[in-house]
Amino acid sequence: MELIGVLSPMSILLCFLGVLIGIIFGSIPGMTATMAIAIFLPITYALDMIDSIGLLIGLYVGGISGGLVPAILLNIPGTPSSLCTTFDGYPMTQNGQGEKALKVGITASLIGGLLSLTILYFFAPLLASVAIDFSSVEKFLIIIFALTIIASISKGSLLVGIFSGILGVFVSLIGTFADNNEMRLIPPGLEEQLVYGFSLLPVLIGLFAIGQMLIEAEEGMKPATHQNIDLNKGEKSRFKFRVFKNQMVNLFRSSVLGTFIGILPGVGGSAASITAYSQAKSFSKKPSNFGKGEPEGLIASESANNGLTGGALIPLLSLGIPGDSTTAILIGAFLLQGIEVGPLFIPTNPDLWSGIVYALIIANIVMFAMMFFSIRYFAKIVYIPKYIIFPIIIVMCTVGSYAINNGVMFDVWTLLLFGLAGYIFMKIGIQIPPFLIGFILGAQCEKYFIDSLKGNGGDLTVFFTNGPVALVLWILIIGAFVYAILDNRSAKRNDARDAS
Amino acid sequence: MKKIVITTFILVTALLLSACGSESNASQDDGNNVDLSRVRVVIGSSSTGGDTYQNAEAVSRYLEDEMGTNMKVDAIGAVKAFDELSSAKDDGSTVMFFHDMAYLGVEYGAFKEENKLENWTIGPVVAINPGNGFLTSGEAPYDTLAESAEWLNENPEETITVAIQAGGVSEVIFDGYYLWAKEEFGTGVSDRINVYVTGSQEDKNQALWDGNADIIHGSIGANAEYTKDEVEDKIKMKFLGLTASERVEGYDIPTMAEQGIMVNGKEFTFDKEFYFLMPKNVDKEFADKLDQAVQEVVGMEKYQEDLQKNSYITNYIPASESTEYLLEKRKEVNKIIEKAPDLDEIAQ
Amino acid sequence: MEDLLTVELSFSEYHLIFPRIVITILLILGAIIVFRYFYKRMKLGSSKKRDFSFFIATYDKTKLFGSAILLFLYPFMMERLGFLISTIGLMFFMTLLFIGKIKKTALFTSLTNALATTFVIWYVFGQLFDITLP
Repeated sequence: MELIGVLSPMSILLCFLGVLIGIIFGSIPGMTATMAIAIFLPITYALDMIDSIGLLIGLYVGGISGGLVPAILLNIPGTPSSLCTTFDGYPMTQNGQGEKALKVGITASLIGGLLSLTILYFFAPLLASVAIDFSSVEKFLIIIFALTIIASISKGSLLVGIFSGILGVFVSLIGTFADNNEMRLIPPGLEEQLVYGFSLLPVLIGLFAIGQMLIEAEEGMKPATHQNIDLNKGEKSRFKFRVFKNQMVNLFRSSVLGTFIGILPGVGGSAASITAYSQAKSFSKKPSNFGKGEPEGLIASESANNGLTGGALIPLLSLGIPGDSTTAILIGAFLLQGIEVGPLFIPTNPDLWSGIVYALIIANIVMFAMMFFSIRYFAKIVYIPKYIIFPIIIVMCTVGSYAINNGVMFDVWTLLLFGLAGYIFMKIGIQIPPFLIGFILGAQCEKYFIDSLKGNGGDLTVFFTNGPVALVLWILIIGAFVYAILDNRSAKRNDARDAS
Repeated sequence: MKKIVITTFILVTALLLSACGSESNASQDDGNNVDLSRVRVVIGSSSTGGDTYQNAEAVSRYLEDEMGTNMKVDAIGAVKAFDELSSAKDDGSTVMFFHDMAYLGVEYGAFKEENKLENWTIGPVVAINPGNGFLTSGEAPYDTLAESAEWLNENPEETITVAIQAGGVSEVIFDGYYLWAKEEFGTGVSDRINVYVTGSQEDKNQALWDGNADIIHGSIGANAEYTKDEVEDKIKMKFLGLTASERVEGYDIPTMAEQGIMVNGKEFTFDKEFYFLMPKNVDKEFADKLDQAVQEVVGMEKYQEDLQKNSYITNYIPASESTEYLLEKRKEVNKIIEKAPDLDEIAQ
Repeated sequence: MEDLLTVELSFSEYHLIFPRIVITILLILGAIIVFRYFYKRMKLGSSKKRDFSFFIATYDKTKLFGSAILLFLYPFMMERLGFLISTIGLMFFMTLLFIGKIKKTALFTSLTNALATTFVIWYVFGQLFDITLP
């Protein structure tokens, strides 16, 4: 069998191990797939190339997938790319459908992963060539397009939602601008700690986990209603593959979108699930259910972030350019072995290439099997009393924040600071998901904006005159925005009607 | 004790798992063993795909055995690495590994003045990345850097934009090219050379493909793959010249000096060298052992082969000479920086 | 028109262009929000008292402030006492605080939770994966 010829039994074993460790890292708030790979990178030197590929691909797929567990069960995104999973995953848990939500999420992850892998296998060189045609102008517009989701997920006041998002962008700009090494917006006295700005992970889990804990503490840590209900009660709460029956288009669209965003070098992974979620909502027959526990949103987010895995490998393997931060570390693994990753990688290393593809297939399937059958136990997390789970979460978040940049105590302070900020935000009405999306995308938005101007002597018209792709993106942006306004109005009208 | 037992247990498990036939750890009778269970090597780059990480990782891997300790390379970036080094203990538990940008950054104002070479103990120089240079797209009308300036001279309507990173090795070698063009052909040519300032190698490559830059800074390790014949025209690149003092084996790329590029009356060369930095008052015994161990490692054939894979070459300068050597190199570079153009004027 | 659509670019000011744009947008949005808020209040008549209060009516002072204080003490303690001791301490007091009553079972639960979690994290991450712990 060809599979065994290409992948040694050892590499398959390491792939299993990688998936397991990846899932652990992904499901712990504060630990990410990127981190798992960075930790195991030096070990791979002692391994054969094909064995280390098995391990690293396993870590990658496991790490991206594990993030959905805390997102769904605890409302804490385990990794930035599972942010959108919390929007509908957690409400499902609150409705007593935690186990179902997990299974939906995992199945969507598997399909997203396999679809993107197929795209990788058949179209890698072609798509990579398309990807470099996307200049900074198009990348800037794609980020803006992803940012339009801020409008569509704003609850209540659209204006306040947009304000929250732009505030997030503003906070992300604190630090040094890379091109000219100049610092800006740093409060006096913190220059040393904030040279590189606030780290994403502590901000993310601080706003969600710590903020949430403070709210719960204020309410006296009473058991939530959903902790008393049986997860499997009722026909509605049971998982059936039938859930996916009307979701084929959504699944396909989200996976392809995730893959495509993964292909674009420098457009981060979180943008994949964000755009997929907002597209699912725009095309849905029942957009008003989004954010209230609609499996459709969950499917979009999870299939897109696993779609990313195959996508991000496309420019890496066919151009030598990493598609996201995790694949940037993977490059290190190749170079340690003295293998050049560049435009000729696939033709010159056919065995390695098919090894990678097989490893991806195995990793996705192993991930599915491991998670699908252990979910029953995972799902029990929601029954753990809050007075036990919250202290654990806090320690995990602290360890994760401290470790994310190899031991920086300021990151722990960031975690606490944004925990407090999250608590205050919830009180005064600043919306946390738009804020975070602004924060995640802000720095990239600036980079591509400035890059576009640098290439054109500061001429702003370049955003309109840069060819047909830019125009199509403009149409999408305007469409998404108009749609969000109309949707927001009708939601308000519905609420008013329900109230009266 | 318990910790050691657990660590050993894990090490053994890891070795079994990887089933690689590597033998037991360092020979115990070695004179360079240090009294530290762990040495953290912080590097001036935040990428694990760049030449700094690769060199740091390779030398640490061999030094571990030689010094009987564990070394962990942390890619935390220059500013943080300097911070860590300035607050590090003097026992050698934290050392820094970086290249010429350590002082170039200070001279260009990208790093703080406190980080200048005088404030650290400079360890041995370890290796060179001789593959630094400039590239352009495959169908550019010139084949060398010297020809590019001539081409500008013959075509007064044209301009050339060069993608570099501010404050680093790429800026100093750009300055060399710019000053030479100005001297050779006058401001009529040099005024038509612009820069596109950006960060990573990927950004520079993309700038070339987008047409935002005509020439980019790059290296053999990172860019040689794009220069091969089979690469499709759209992404194909070619080398215009390398900055090292000698040609790189296996590549037919002329050095800038060969092309007649001179600055301040001397042939322009710049070897990108990697070395260790330690806290100012680092334990002398540790510093000596590190120096000895590096000397041993550099002599090992296996280490040299490892570097060769990515076209790096060993270049040992003992710690006793490295300070003087680097200060002299900085002095030479400063002569260029003094005359160098202001980025405000030549950046778009 | 052409001037309006061209941004003055200067290398040493690259880092200021985008923040300026963002701050401008924030100020405009903020102004509209404030204006709308007061406009609505005017329309409703100012006789209506503001019914906004920061804390919920039945808020649990001890747990809220207790946990906040514990949280902010934690990093300080870690720098003095190291990871193991301070984490066991935090876990113990926080679990106890959240249970809310000092009884034998509560003490036992807190202690178990503290010791078990701390040890598992220390072992798995600090030792097995060699992650730098505080």
